[in-house]
Amino acid sequence: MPIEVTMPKLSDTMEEGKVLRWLKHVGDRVAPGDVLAEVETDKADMELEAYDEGVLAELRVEEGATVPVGAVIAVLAAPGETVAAAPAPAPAAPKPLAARAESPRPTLVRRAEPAAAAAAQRPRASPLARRIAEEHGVDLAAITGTGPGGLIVERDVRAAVAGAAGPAPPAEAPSGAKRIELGRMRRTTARRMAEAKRDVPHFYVTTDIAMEEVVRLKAELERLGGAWEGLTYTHLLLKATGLALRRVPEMNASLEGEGTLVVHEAVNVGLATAVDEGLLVPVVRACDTTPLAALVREVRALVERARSGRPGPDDLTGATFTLSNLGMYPVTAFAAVVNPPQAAILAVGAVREVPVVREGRVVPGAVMSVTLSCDHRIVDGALAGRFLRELKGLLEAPVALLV
Amino acid sequence: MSEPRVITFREALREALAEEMERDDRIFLMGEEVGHYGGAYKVSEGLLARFGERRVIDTPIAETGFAGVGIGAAMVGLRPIIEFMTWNFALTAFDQLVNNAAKLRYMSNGQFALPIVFRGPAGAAHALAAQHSQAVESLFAHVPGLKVVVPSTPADGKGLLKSAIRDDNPVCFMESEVMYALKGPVPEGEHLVPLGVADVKRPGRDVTVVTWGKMVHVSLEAAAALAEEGIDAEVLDLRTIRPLDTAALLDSVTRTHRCLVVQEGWPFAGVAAEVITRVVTDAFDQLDAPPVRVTSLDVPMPYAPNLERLVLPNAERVIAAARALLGRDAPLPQAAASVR
Repeated sequence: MPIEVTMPKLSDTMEEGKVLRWLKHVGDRVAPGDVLAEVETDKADMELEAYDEGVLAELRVEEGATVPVGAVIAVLAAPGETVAAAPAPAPAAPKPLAARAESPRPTLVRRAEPAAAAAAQRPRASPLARRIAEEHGVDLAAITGTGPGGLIVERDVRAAVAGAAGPAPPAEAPSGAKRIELGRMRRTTARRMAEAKRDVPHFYVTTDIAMEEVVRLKAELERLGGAWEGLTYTHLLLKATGLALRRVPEMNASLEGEGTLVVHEAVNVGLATAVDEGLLVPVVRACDTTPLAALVREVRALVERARSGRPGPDDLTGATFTLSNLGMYPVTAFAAVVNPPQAAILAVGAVREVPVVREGRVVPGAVMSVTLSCDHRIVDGALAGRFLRELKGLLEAPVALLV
Repeated sequence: MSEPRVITFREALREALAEEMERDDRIFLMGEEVGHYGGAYKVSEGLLARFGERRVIDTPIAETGFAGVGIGAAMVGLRPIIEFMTWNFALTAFDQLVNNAAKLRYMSNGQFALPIVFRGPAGAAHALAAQHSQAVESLFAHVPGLKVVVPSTPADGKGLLKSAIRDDNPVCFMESEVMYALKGPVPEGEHLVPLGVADVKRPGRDVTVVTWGKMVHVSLEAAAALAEEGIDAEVLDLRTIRPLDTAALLDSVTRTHRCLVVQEGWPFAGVAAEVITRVVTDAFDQLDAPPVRVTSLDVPMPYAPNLERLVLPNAERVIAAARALLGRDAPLPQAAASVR
């Protein structure tokens, strides 16, 4: 039986992938683990590995083409097995390559000429139309041109934008304004944040946490050096959040479809991380059970991989909750946008030296404000309160973080 | 304010010459038949009687000679106006214009100014055949050091000629035999049109028709016809080919997103190519269609009037090109198809 190779979901937010380069060609023998292709996702360029053994019988997607997750992009056959011609592709799928079912003779197999393929695929559009399509995220391939010789022109793109019930075109920017085309990552962030704010009914719960003990603990651990080198508040916060989620599991949950609440077993906390191109959320696994020293090490490697643009395949998937820490900036408190389908996100401000009242007297204190943004469809105020009570307790008496 | 008088192009140019000669006695007019005959096209009629033989000078048929004499006079402080009976004859004096007029200010490190105007009719008239029908603005605009002016209306003719005479650089001023009798309102007295400033002769939203000289009138005729089918063409008259008003050009194309250049001369390496280069380079992502040009065909001008009509740009060709730019019926002409 021929085996279909599909476009895998390589990140939580990935909805489509672009085949950058085929590394195996029709007729090549493939073993599990062989890299078949390089794939561009919304976040990074990744390698697509084979899971099965066979001979590559057919490539259904040309280099440079973008297809939805789950689309068949290649077919593996047992040696000698012939494969029926590809069925007509779904409308969304790009032009398939002609099936090549001849017996495996790798040296004689001609690859598609990338330049010619690219030229044939690039829709003919005016520079103005191209710019407007980019600005509105409109796919030129889906537009029929009405300009000279069928050229896609401004009015065609405007009609497509209007047809998609998109917003009215923005007013001309004031002259002298710099126009920066959004990168793929920024576009994904923009789309997902807009969706989240539109679809998720947010509410926000804030508390102040006395941080004297954490400040002291951090200083003592830093003095020990070794495994504690590079310890930051973020590491302590990840551990405290992981433990609080274990104690209040309903917060470690997500909404599936319209009617199912999924309470996760794993406590995986996404860490909102600024990178050059925008925002990434590498996922720190098992924050509840991983010892603090191990967390320090793992988070450092994770963030490095994310910032270098070469995250591992699991680095960006599987988060059950998100932490956003702006404490390294002069930020008192802020409210973050929930990262669907998660139930909540914790926004953390800086540790501030402020006067506090203790046993009826005003004394110097170290205070940190945190704000929990919750999806009100699955989280209520009392649950948020319970979670913050646990988190506050863990940080105000932080010895549990070391267990 | 009273309505400006309506006079002919020829009278407007004569008025500019007379006013400037009155204002500055270093200015003199020299050329074939400019004095006693009053000019081959009567532009200088009456100037000999008014200013005398020292300032209105008839020459032999020797363009290289009197162009060179004019350049020498300009170098030593006079402000000559050299009339070529036509710009076709100025090709005899090409060396004087290109190697002397255009170069001496530069090569003397600015010790010599070259306040000289070369003027006369250029382009096709009627059945003047291959050697006498040439629109040569592209030839001269190619040369750094020369300014090139091609007016389209009597008022611009007067205002631009006065500015050209006052300029301290050599200016090639190209008139048109078929426009000397064109009438239009012209302000009396001091009326200056600065060099290097284009003029919107007809505002429009859909396509910028960039043109100059007598092609302005062909373009306006085409624009009127296009308006009846709902295409709103803007006609931008460059007026000065060099310096070229890039800002006005980009401003218009940024509004219309389409650029059509109408040029009387041949296509290959012409002013239209320079205009299109600037648009493509500096306003690339404003373009909603490839810029195109309508020019003379790439052949020497035939003598036969019916063939001459086929060679020259006309309103029909401008209309067809504008329609094509807007994606209506006709396909866009291929640039390479118009030249060998």
